[in-house]
Amino acid sequence: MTNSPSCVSAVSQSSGRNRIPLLLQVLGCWLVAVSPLLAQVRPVAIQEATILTGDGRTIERGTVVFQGGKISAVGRKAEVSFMAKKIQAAGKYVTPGLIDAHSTLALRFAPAGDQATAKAVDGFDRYAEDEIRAALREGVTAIYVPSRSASGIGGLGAVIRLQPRPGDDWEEFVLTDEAALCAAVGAQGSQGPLARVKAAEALRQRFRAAKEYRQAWEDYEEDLEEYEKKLVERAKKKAQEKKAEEKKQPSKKGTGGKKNAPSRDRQKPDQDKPRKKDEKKEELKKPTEPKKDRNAEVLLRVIDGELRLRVEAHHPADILNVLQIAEEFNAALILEGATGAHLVADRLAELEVPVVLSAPPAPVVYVPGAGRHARPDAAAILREAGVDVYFGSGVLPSPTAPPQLALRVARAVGHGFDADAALETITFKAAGLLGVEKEIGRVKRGLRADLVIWSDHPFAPGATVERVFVGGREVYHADSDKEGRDE
Amino acid sequence: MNCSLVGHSKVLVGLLAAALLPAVTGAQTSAGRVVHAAAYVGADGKIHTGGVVVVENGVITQVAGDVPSDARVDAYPGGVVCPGLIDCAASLGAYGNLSERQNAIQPRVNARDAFDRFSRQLRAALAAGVTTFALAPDDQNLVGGRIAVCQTAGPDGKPRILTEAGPLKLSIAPESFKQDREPTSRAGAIGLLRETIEAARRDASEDNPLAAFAAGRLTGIFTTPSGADVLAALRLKADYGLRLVLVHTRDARLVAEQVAGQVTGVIVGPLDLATGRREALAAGVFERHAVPVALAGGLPARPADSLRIAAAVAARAGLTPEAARRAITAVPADLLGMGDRIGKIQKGHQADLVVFSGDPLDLRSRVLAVYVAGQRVYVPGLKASEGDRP
Amino acid sequence: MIAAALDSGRGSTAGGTGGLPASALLVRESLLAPTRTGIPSRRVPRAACPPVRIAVALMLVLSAATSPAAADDTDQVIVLKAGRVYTVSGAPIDGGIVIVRAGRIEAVGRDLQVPEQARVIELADAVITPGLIDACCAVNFEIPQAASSRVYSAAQPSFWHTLAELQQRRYGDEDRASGTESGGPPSFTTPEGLAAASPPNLTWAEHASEVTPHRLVSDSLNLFSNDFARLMKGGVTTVYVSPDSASVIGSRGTVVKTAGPLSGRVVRRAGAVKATMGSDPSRRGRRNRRPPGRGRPVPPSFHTRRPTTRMGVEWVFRKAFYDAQRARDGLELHGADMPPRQALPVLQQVLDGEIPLRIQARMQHDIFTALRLAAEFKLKFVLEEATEAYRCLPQLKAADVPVIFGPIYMAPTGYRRYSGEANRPRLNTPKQLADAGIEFALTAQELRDEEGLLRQGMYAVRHGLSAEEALRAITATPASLLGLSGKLGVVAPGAAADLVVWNTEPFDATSRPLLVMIDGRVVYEE
Repeated sequence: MTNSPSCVSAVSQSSGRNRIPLLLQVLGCWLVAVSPLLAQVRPVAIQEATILTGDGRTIERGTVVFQGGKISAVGRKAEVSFMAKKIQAAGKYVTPGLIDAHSTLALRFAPAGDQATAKAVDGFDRYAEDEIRAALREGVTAIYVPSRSASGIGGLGAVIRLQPRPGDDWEEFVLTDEAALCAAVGAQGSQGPLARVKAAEALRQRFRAAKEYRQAWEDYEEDLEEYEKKLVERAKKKAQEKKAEEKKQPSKKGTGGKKNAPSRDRQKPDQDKPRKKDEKKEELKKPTEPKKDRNAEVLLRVIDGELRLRVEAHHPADILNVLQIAEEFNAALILEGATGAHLVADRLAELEVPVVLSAPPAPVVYVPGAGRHARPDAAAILREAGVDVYFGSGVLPSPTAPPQLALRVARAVGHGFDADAALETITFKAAGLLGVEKEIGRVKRGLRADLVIWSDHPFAPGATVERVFVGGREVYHADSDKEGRDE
Repeated sequence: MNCSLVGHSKVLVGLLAAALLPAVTGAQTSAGRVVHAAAYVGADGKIHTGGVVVVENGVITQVAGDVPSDARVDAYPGGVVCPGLIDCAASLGAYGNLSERQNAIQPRVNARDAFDRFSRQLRAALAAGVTTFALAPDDQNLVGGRIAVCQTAGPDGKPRILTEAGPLKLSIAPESFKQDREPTSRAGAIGLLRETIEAARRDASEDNPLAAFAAGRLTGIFTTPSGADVLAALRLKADYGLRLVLVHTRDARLVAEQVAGQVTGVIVGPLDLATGRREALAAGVFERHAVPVALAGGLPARPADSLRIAAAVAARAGLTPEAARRAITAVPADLLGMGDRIGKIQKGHQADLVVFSGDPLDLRSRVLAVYVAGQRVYVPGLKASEGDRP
Repeated sequence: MIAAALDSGRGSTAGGTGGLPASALLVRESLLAPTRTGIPSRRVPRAACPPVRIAVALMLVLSAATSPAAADDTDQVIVLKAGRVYTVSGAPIDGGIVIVRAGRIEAVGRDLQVPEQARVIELADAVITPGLIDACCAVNFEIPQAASSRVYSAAQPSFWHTLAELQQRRYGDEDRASGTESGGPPSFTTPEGLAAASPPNLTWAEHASEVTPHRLVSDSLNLFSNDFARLMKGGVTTVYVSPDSASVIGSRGTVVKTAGPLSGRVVRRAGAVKATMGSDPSRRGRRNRRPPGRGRPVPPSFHTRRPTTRMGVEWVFRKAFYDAQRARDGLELHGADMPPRQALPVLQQVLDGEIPLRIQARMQHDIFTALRLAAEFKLKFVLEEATEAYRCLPQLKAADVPVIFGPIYMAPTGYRRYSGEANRPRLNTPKQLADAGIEFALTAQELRDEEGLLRQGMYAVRHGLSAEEALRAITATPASLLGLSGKLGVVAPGAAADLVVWNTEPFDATSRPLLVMIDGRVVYEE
């Protein structure tokens, strides 16, 4: 498609002598260029499947049709064109691709330090085929990747759609590279009250500094305006004075002409200085421009509500500190990790702060540090208190570790989480949390065709992912997944 | 079917919490007690309908069929009765306390001596449905000592030792070679093991566990982390006719063929939500080569429900659901030499039961009650101890 | 590739995916065999490759994969026809035919009756030699540690990793996989640095004692190591895995095939006892010299009596055999540095000549020491490495000591470089050994690929050795030094069918294996 305009222009530029063969050539060229796209253009229909739409609806024996990377029809009686590629999926389940709300899958580089401008998407290895395939094998097609530093502000998280061999199309690969500003407070396990105070104060200080930075700019702009006004006034005054002088002494022409332009002051300050001092005009110094601070500008976007703030915190005291900071600076907060969140569930509900549970299951034995408050029914407790709960696979312990999102949520259900809301939290609602609900997260007409065919209900025992489509392109097929089997 | 079971579960918990509160405190040895649920996990690992289990004097006397009229009935509509889960690789109540570093050969060490029956970890495991576990010496020694098979609760509700004469624990994991004692290498480790076995064959005294092991009368649970270790263990088995259970996950696909028919079984794991594909596939590989597979829970270094997580992960990677259910109940019982007493819902077996709200393999299912020797020892909601840690 | 090789060798399952390519070749060639006479050029079938033929071949492949009879290629008679066959035991045969049955060579010659139903592999102008044998191979069989399968360990159960930790681990793993040392170059001035300089795969020796002949390298062996596949692809079909030089009297080596079914890989579990002269035992064993229970290395002391000089090494050797003799005579043993009790019977068997002895020595005076000690205890031995053998030719000849020489190099590398013992190599040593009439084999030890065993032969030829002698030094001679004369290392009736097919003369610089057969199975095919 994209090649056709250039081909057409080539035709128009060609001479008329051998137009016909050239036209044929061009047509051939166009066909060759377009043929890979034809596969995209041809509709695909998944039929007879149980469709879990992601927003709570179930369509028995339904059909999903997608074409050109988007879902074009959903329903029990969706129309299927005769040329569509049909996939029979009787007895199987179709869900939207699962969305991992916090994952370090294939994330290679962490920002060096307190850096708000660092982008997670730059650290994501889009060619980490094995790791991406491991995620697709679990039905995960989109992940939120944090730009995570050990403590303080990390950078900008991204929402990435997983494809084992990504094309050059940035739009297909990254939904947003500025999903949220990442920060961490006591994520390593707090070293005590003093460290907690320090961590919270450091974050608060950053926001305060950002505000001061804005104030400095506002002051500067005000001063500049005033200065320019005064400059004009003075010029006017000078002109009037000169006029008056000229009226009095019309013989002194040369010096008067020099004084006319205000820019002259800058050109020859040394000569003018002594005279200026004599005239007592120091108050008309040009205000100095504050230094540009890109990091502070990112923080200001959080303060202005343009960007969400995601903080990893575990200890309830840390969480309370973070809540206070978010309130103080009016930041839209999302909590990550949050193994101690259930202890402050009421406060989180009151402030309507969503929580992404992404810590690994806690062992029976006491673990000092970040995870010591963890309990498996935290999700249920939080939800009962009215907190929006989301799930992520968090920091994966090894490159081979898959994000077992479905099992993780199933386990939460086993520990009391609402079974009916479970799938939503890793599809539609997760998309909402990441601000991409108009793109992915549901089986709905017009959304991107990120779909998973499961052998059974995603939470059922022994359920496996059979096929995965991202943007309508098949990116995983269990039959051709050599690593996924033992032979 | 499983999905529909889960659907009921929410209603169930509410009902049960009210109905069962007084029942759990009574610890009398009733003449007949019936656990009545919708289905039960059979000895074949399948879920059978008709979940009637009749218990008398702590022993199962009837499975399925009609409910006897005179017995006391604990009803769990929609529930699935499962044998109590068994973790054959645990150190509950003795965590970090199970390696004697003095010498690499410690046959007379018995793990029962490290058992702390007052540990709160036991209650957490019980709440997740784990009724029995093998308290095993760890991998730091070639011959670590004797495994004690313990229970997270006895009929009186208190933890107990089921038998202190469990299998022998062996290891050629790299942590068993050290720089400051013999052996320092794998060649040294295998050589030393061979000399030890040969010496034990000459000294056939009754109280020496190694003599029984060398004569093939006592099972050895043998940690063999790599495929090469497995082959080395199989060679020892071929040379001395040992009875072995291997602990192996990593190179399953390379060695499954060699292992088949040579060992009593294989312990795979621990598997968790972050387990890589290669490890997750191992259980299925062994199953296809007809090797009995038990899954390791690794308590308490893992979550209390890690046995079920392991089963769910393995089931998603090709282990059949039947084998997955058996891998956390019947097979570990067999490998610990207790297969005729625990691990199955079958006439004559000790009535260690867990009632789940659905398929035990389904992580959405909840524990509704736990019985040990016919006594209900755990019902959720009674204590704040539900979950990983009390 | 090793997976494929192992698969194809796994007996009944040879029809699996791994075995397919090999059987494909076999079937394809047999299809053509009856239609042609004489020795056709290799190019003819390749050029004329109509789609029909491919289709037929494919069908046959499929049927071969499904039918059990065809799947098991051990009972099958395989006939190789090549431009030239180097039998090593006799003269080379141009246009020779090798008939392989049940894993053994049945016949070799020019005009042989091709048995019916045999698979015929036409190799045109390719060259067949026996599979190469490295009689002193240092195999990298580092055993991967499965950290994730710590079932019974009381390791910290924390899964809380920082990303930085995670990255470190990831890249650390990659480094290890590619064989480079992570964490910067080691220092060679400290004992720890020296220990680090020798890669972990070369220090599998048991350090509980300086005298460990009762330990077997075969117990440490990782048959799944990728290094075996690397060797096999270089045409090496059998290796004697020699223990490293970290002990004065080390473990016993083992003879293994580099590919094939697991059950048939180990040819001999317990081989020769290896002793080492020179500075290696005092240098490489140093990291174990610490009193029990302490974490850091300490200077040698009363607690850690180990040799620190050549004299000490010689003393430990002498004391061990002296004690073995005394124990045999029923006498009491004295002294602080007694060999372990289990070592004594093994040493006695060495004294009786029942177990062969090998001594590694590089420098002239170390070779002299070895000769002196051997004469003292009336020991027969084989000299390993022998960098300065060219300076001891008369003595070696007089003592009738065979030499396993190698590798050939201009300047030493790796741990050899830091031994300080390898600074006077000569490239024409093999030629000199041959001229002196000393029985010798060539070895590449830890070197592979372009410095591997075949290329060692090539270097020897380049520096004066005749091609026949060079070929014998990497086939028949190592076989006879391993006591497998006539069974391995020759293309002769009755010998194991370990064959390598080269694209050209093996010692040409452009030579490469086209096909490797071990025990009658095709384990590699280009």
